[in-house]
Amino acid sequence: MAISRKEIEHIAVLARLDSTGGIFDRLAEDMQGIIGMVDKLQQLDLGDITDQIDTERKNALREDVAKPESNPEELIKPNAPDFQAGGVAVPRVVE
Amino acid sequence: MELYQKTAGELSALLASKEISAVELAQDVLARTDAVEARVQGYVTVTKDAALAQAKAVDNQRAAGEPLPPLAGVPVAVKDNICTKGILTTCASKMLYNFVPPYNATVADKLAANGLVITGKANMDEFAMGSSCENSAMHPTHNPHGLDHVPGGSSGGSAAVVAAGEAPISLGSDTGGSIRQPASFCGVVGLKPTYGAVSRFGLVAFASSLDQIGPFGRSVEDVALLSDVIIGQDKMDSTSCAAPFGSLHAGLNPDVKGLKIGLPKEYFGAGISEEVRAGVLAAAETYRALGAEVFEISLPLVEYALPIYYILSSAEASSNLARFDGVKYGFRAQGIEDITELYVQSRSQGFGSEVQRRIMLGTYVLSSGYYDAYYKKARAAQRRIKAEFNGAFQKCDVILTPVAPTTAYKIGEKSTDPLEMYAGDVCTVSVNIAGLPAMVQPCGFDAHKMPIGMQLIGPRFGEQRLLNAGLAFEQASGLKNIIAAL
Repeated sequence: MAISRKEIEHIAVLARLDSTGGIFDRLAEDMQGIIGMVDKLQQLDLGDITDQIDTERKNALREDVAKPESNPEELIKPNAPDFQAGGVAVPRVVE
Repeated sequence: MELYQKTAGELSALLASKEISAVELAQDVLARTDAVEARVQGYVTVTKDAALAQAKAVDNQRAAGEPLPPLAGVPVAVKDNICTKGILTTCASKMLYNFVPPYNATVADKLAANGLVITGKANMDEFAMGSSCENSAMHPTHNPHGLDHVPGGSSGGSAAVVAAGEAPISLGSDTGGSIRQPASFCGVVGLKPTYGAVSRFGLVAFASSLDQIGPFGRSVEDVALLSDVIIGQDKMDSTSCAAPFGSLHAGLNPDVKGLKIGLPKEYFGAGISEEVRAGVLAAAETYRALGAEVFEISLPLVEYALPIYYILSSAEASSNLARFDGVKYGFRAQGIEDITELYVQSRSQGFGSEVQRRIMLGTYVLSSGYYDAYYKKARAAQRRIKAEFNGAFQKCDVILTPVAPTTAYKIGEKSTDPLEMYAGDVCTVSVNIAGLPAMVQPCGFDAHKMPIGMQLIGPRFGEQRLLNAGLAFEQASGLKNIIAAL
C-alpha cells in the first residue's frame, strides 16, 4: 500500500525523529520503496495459521531477588550527558 | 611462520607447552595490527595496554602451575556492540560515541574467565544495521582480500581483522546474516548459533528475537573452540537455554559418509551470480566424493523471507532503540529547551540514515491500522518458515546454500540504494527467522581472487553436525587459515 508524505511525517512524530530537515526528504523517498518491498508479504496465503504464538520458545525467568549494586551515582554519572545534584538533568518538563 | 599467522588451535598448543608466552603472542598480533590496520580499519578501538596486561596475567597463572582453559592467552577481537566493562562500546554510532559500559556482557565475562586476551573492539554497521560496514559512523572497514571492496556486515570488522591476521578469532553478532555474510566476503569461518544457545546479556539489542552472538575463526576447529567458551544458559537472558551437547571441540569428527545434504533449489536460482553458484555446487560435489548423499530439496517460502525479516527486525529495532533519547547516556543534542525536542534532536543527530530508516519502518508496521497487515502477519508467517525447515530436516541432515548472491563488492557500489543492499540478505535471513544454527566457510575464490563462501544450515542445536560437515570439507579442500597478503 502506498504511503503519503503526511503519513510518513506522522510516523516520524511517533518515532521521535525530525521530519523538517532536507535529509528527511530522502528518508521519505526511501520509505516508499521499502514499504513496497515488505508489501510482498500480502501475497502470501497463510491458510489456517492466523495466530502468532510461538510455542517452541519459552522464557526461563530468574528469581526476583534484589542484588546489591555499586552506588548508582558511580554507575550513572560517568556516562550521563548532564549530571547534577545526584540525578540526570534535563530541560524543564513541568511548567 | 609468524605467530599472527597461526590458528587459535595451534597457538593453544604452543602456549600450553610453554614454547611461547601470551605476552609474546599479544605483541606479535599487535605488531601485525600496527602494520596493517591503517589499510584495513577493522577496529573502532585497539586495547593494546589492556591486552598486554591480560596476557601478562595469563603468563603468571601458567608459571604458577595453574590449570588453564584451552584458549587462555589467545587474542580475540570483540564486536563493538558487545558491552565490555571500562572499554568504549560505540555500536559504531554517534549516539554511543562516548559510552563506556559499567558492566560486562556475559560473553565478555566468559572470555575473561577463560583467559582470552581482548585486542580491541571491532567495527560494524551502526547498531548492526547493514551488510557492508559502510554504515559505521566511525569509518568504513576494508576487505583485506581487496582493499577497495567491502568486508560485508554488519560484523565486517570482526571478519576483516581475522582475515588480516590482526586477531586469530573474534566475536560478532548475527540478526539476519551479520556473522555469515562477512565471513563469506572475507574468507573466514563464522558460526551463527541456535537462538538461545549464547546469552545476549550485554549485547546492545537490535532485534531481540533474532539476535545471536557467535564466533569467527580461520578454521572450523577455532570456531568450535570459541563456541565452547561462549555457549551456555545464562540467568541474565531469559531466552537463553541449555544446549543439549557438551564440548563441540571434543566432538569434532570429519566423517560425512551417509550424511544427507539438501540443496534447496530456490537458493540457487535467478539473482545468484554464476561464480557463487558454481563454487557452492563444486563443494556439493566434494561432499559426494566424500560419501555424503547430496540431493535437491525445496524451500519455496524463501521468496517471502526478506519482507518477513525486515518487518520483524525493524519492529523490534524501533522498540529497542527507543531507549536512546539523549537523557541518560550517549549523545545529547545541545542548546535545546524543550524535553520532546531534546529527544527528537538527539535521535535525529545521533542516528545515521540507515538506523532512521529501520526505526521508521518498524514504527510504521507497529502503528495503529497497519499492525495486523504487517507485524501480526509476519509473526504468523514466521511459523510457516519454521515448519518448512522442520519438514526439510525430516529428509536431510544439513542444508547447503550460497551465503550471498555475489562475492564482496566495491565500497560505494551499493551504499546509495537500501533495497539493493537488503536484497543481498536473501540467503541468510530465513535462518534467523527460524532460530536455526548455520555456519559459513570459504569454498573457493572468484575471478578477482575474492573469497566465495558456502552456508551449512542445521536443525535446532545441530551445531556439532555443522562443524563436523564443515571440517570434512575443510580437510578435503585445504581451504583453511587463509590470511590476506596485504
